[in-house]
Amino acid sequence: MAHRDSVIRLQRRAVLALVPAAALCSWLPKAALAADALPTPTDAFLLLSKLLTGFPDVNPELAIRLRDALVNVDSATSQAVGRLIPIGLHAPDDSTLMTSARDAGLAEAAFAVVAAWYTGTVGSGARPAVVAYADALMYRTVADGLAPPTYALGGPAWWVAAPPPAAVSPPKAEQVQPGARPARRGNPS
Amino acid sequence: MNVRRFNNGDADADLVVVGSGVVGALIAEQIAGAERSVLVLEAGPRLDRAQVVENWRNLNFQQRVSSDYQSLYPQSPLATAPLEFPPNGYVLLTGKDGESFHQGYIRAVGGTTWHWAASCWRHLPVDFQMRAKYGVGRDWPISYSDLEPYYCRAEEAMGVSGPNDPALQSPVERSRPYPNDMIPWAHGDTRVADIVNPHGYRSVPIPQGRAVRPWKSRPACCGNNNCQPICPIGAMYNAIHTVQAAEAKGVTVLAESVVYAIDTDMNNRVTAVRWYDRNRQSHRATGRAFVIACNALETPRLLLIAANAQNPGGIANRSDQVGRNLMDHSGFHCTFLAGEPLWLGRGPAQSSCLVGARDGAFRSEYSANKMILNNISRVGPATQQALKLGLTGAALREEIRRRTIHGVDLSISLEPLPAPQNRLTLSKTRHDALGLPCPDINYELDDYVHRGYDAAAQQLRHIGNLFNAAEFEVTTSLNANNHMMGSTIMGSDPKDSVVDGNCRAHDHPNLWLPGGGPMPSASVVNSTLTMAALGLKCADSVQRALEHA
Amino acid sequence: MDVHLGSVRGGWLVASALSCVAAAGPSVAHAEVSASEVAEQGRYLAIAGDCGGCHTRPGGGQAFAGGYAIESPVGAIYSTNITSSSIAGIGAYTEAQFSRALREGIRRDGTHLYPAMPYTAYAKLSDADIRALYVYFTKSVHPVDAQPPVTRLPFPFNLRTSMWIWNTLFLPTARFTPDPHRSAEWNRGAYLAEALEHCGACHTPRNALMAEQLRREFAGTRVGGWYAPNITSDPVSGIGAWTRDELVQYLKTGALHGKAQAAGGMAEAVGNSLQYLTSQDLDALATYLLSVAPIRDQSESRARDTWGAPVEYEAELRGRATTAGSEQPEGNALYSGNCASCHQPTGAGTADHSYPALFHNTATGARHADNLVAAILFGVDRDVSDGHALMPRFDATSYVQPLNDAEVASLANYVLHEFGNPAVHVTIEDVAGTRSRGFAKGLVLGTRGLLIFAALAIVTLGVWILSRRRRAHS
Repeated sequence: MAHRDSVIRLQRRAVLALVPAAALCSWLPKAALAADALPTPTDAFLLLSKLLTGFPDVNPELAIRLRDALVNVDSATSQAVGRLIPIGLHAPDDSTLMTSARDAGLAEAAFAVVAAWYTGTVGSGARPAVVAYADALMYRTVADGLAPPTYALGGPAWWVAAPPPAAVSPPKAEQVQPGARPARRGNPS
Repeated sequence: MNVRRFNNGDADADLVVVGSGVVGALIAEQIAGAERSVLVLEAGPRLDRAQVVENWRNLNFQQRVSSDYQSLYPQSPLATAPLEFPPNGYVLLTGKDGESFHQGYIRAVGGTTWHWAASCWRHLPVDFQMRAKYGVGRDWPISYSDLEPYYCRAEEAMGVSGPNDPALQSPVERSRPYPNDMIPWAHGDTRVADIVNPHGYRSVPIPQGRAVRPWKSRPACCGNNNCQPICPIGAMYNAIHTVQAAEAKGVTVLAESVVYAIDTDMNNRVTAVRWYDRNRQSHRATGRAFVIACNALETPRLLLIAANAQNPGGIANRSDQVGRNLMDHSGFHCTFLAGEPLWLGRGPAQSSCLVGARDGAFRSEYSANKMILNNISRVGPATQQALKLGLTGAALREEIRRRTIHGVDLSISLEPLPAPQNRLTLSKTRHDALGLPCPDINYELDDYVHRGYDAAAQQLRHIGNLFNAAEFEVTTSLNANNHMMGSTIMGSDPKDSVVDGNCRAHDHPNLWLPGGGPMPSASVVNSTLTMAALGLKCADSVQRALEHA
Repeated sequence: MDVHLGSVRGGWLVASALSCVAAAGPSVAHAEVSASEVAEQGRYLAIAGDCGGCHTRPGGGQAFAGGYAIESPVGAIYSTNITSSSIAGIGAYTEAQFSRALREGIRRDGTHLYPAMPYTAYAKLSDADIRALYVYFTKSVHPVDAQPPVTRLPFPFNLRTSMWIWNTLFLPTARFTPDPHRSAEWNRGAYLAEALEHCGACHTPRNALMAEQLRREFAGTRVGGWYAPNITSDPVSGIGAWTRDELVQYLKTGALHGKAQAAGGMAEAVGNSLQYLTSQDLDALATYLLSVAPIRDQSESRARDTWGAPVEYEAELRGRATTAGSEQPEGNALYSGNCASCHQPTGAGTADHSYPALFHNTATGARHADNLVAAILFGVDRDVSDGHALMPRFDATSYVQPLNDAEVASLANYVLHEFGNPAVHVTIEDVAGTRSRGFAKGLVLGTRGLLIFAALAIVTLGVWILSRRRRAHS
């Protein structure tokens, strides 16, 4: 446990290096001022993450690991995210944030953050970094009826029970057309 | 009885088995029970299940969602298996349909059943007589009735759960009930069957090598939906279970032992095989009987590599059929979003399948098909699609949920016919780390399969309408299904076949080549149970031969 | 008023004793009860006494035909055929001979039974219950003519006659006597526990001569690789903090969600016997057990089902190569790869409790880690009418992954530290000891006792030889 704390502290320092403290001060939202403390860069990234993902309770430790992975895997995107963070402190919701992001040419950076949180994998190039499996947010969207694969949701034959209510509208139906898409390789059955 | 080991690492046993997958393991376990010494030589390493499970969890999203079921398995550097992410170029594919033959298999103790869906289908009786009945392909020299008792034994060995209601069986001809009744369906299986069955598509329960109650101390399936990369709890039949049982009976299994040569005497009996250990030292295993069960690619590869002065065209290859007649179930997919939530992904990976088009008079003109309802969680593809739509926040959460619970993926299998030009040969330019030639595969499908595709696609469009499908798509390129067959084909005439009805090589009285290689017809169903049944029939033949020796 | 206290007291005692006997305690035998009803009583008693637990071989053995190898430190003791067969079973026994076997451990041919047969408990059975059991076994149990293997222990343990000294020291001579100060229900529970279910045979520690230590009744002890825990009423070391309903639930189903689950010998006891007791009998048994004198282990500070909490550890594992399957596997990797699929990354188990939580679990919170190690090595196999619960084993015959001693120790220590009592530690030697069913350890502990036993046996032999010679001379 002690080892992990010191690693976290080191990582926090790395994050600090990316966001000049002065620039940060000028972007403080009213809430942060009212709380009587400057948000650290870590907290600012956390706030950005909450907005973009739509999950108010994202894991703070995972946030740090995700941010660090982005620095390692894709420094250009990471720097763009650094510029995005202050925008996140201002935005009341994700739509507003995305509008501002597009205006600032930072939409790709925003999508990179979203994708990383939802898939648990940072970057999609030659060397993607895995930061989460079961904690990937995509699994949380359906956690009431599906467990992340490799985990059981109940005992044997749990799946014969009725699934939970959909709680979303169905897809819009279309005329059926045969589509053209390249096949997947080696898809075993 | 124990295998004899010598100081120089050589060995001697009554039976030498090359390959420790489901077929080799079942044979070794049976012969060992009959008080014989059995040596199993496996090219690959021993695996640790927990390590492979963690490798999957640590695999990046892109590879997981692309169904990369190979990268998580450690390989021996001296025994390569195909990899696709990135491609390792072990197999060179040529021919107009070469791209549909990217096979994945595992070279390790326990073989490829470490990662499969455990679908345990039987061929239909008519599948054994394609030529006689439909005028296409080849007939088996044995009938369904000949193999039926072995299907029962294979189902028992693998602890299969299948429907005991004849209305749900395919085929219905069976002499014993399944060891366990069918794996119960989840909501998705039930709704799909309700919708398609009135139209004759006949969705039935898939017989599976798992159970929902403990079976001989094997844990019950807990529905963690991870069957095809790996079952984390060993509830699914994996041949490693049979390997362990064989070892408990005294079988010696040597891992990282790559066989590269086969010695024959002047009567063309096999006298020994030679193998490289992990330090590239060569050793010799002498025996009375030899089984080669490395799968339908590696077995012919070895037979060709082992060509010797007496058998210049390859071991067991006087017919020139070794490596030819290669088949796999050509596959494609149909995906759509249904108009009602189906919640696929609850329970094991594949529990129901549309078999209405599995047989019929049309098989004289075009290929049959089966359509598996993939019960694999759609969260990954749903997330990819939702992210592509540029969504964030609550809208993204909702869209992933919507696409996951309404998403459907059908996996369709078509039946190829055996053709001599579809073959494995040895590369003249590419060699593995031991200097052994890598495989080249040529694969071309004729109109029999393409017309079968057209018929299936039409059925799929109809099915899509039944579901008020959105984003309905049918892939147009064919993909592999890892069911390699035909390359050591079974027949009564040694001039055009490699093995007889017991999988014994025509050319060598004490060599057997069981597995997918002997199968003269592919049918449309997964081949493993048929391979296992052939393995047990082969084991009886080996046992008789050892008794007479 | 002229009160004859003696007769009144005596009468009251008799009356209350009769009412105890009538309402609870041993079964009542009225002359009017039909033979089939007596046999049915016998059938229920045979379940309550769990005769089949030893006399029916698991995995398909015919009912009561024996042949179950009960492993002891000195060799296998095979249970005998107690079907109604006259050739291989007890079909030729008279009731008196049956009674002698059950209560004194002496067979029809006069040889002694080893105390693997819990005759010291059955010694307390009432005459009526003995009769019912006799009728059941000789009239209702299907005869099986096959002889099971004969027990052959090495010298000097094959000298069964030495058991008479042991019996002299340790065999109770009295039948069960109800306590007049206690309720009928309590007395019934006492009779069930002491005479029939023989709980003490596992849960009471034994002395050097392998007899139950009566002053430490139910204080807990090692049994064949597992640990039969302290089930006295002590709220910290025993089950005193459980309610009666909780205990009944546990006895009936083998599981008390969020606290405990039965494994090893207790899973067998639940599956073969306890799940079939009537609800009144289960209430009675629970009432009695919750009254047993508390025995505290001073090294324990809290009850074994109160330790631990959910854990977050995914972050430690993701994105780096796992150590599972390597030369130095770490506990968290072993847990994640082998256990988390069912017990979940947090250790919370599944919502339906099919796979239990590992915190607030007696197996991980106990002072002795034997049951945790045994559960990992041998699994949990519990077949009750609710369903067949199975945790797979991880020993050499594992369907999941055979784990070596170092891996089991690392995994157990991880589980103890994260979910259970972090002060408990498991060594590789501990694992090896459990894997050998406790005999490597038990032999050390029992050697002294066995030597004394052997000495007694030799003395017995010597005395017998001398007495024969004296007779020959005179």
